[in-house]
Amino acid sequence: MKNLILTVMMIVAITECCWGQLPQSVEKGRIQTRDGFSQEFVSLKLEGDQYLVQSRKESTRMPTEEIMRIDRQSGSEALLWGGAMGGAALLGSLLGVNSAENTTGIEADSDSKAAIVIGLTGLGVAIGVLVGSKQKKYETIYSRDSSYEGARWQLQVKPQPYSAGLTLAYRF
Amino acid sequence: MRLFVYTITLLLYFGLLISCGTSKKAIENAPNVELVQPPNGKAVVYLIRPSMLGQLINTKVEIDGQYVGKTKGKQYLYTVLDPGTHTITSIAENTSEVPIELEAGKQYFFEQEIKMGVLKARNELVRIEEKDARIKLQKCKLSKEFMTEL
Repeated sequence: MKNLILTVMMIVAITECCWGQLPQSVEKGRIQTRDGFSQEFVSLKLEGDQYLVQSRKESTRMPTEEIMRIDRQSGSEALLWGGAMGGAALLGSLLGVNSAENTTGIEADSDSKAAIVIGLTGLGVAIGVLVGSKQKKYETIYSRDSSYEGARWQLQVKPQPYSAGLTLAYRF
Repeated sequence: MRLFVYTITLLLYFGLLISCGTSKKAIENAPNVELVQPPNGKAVVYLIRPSMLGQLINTKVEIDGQYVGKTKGKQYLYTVLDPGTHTITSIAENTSEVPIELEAGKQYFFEQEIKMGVLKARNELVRIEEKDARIKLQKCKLSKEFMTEL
């Protein structure tokens, strides 16, 4: 148990150290500048105390001191959406098949029931993957304020107007 | 027949989920919306949620980890802050954070862009220009729960 806690603490410490260092180059992602604006880039290269920011339209140079945070694009949310929509479609189709059978009193053969359930579930998964693939996922690889950003898992004690208590939060 | 109706209903449901989204209008003339002026040595931050998507779902707003208030669809809130580095956070199904260095005497505008989520709406904080913000503020009401100053 002690070893597990130590390992987790080391991983958290290493992650936080990494987030405090400027990366040399990054492919696809976004930067948050000091004034709160966000800019997407295709590639980012560190050249001295400046970054060469290559976007789809143009390439510009930006002093590193202007950058508050760098996020790298890490795929899409296709898997999550596919799973969620597929699950919903599976549940819906199962309910639909059973409900139709009960109300009509006709016993449908199991092959056609399975085909309907599989077909609708497949359709749900396909729609989910389509929606999810358009939603980009980002991971923070540099943050100037690493003490705050680094805390992905947070145990918070917060007095709020209508509630008070402990919260274990995961930032994603 | 009943199965056919169920299939069509499911397809319409998924279609409706996909088609939900915000449209971006061309901005020409900014309306004259009355804005809160920053007190001496302070900055004002506006958080605007102009979208009707997920209307009843609250998005909680925190600044530097401290609760500021919450918005529903077509609502906004503002807060007065000291200049310096702050992290503005908007929480729905996901957490969207924007680090920013505020300057005294300035107004900052952020839009909470609402997106479709798996269980409830997701959001993304995006800084917008004043002209754009004025148009969006005109369509929104002040949130009933927020702190004007931290």
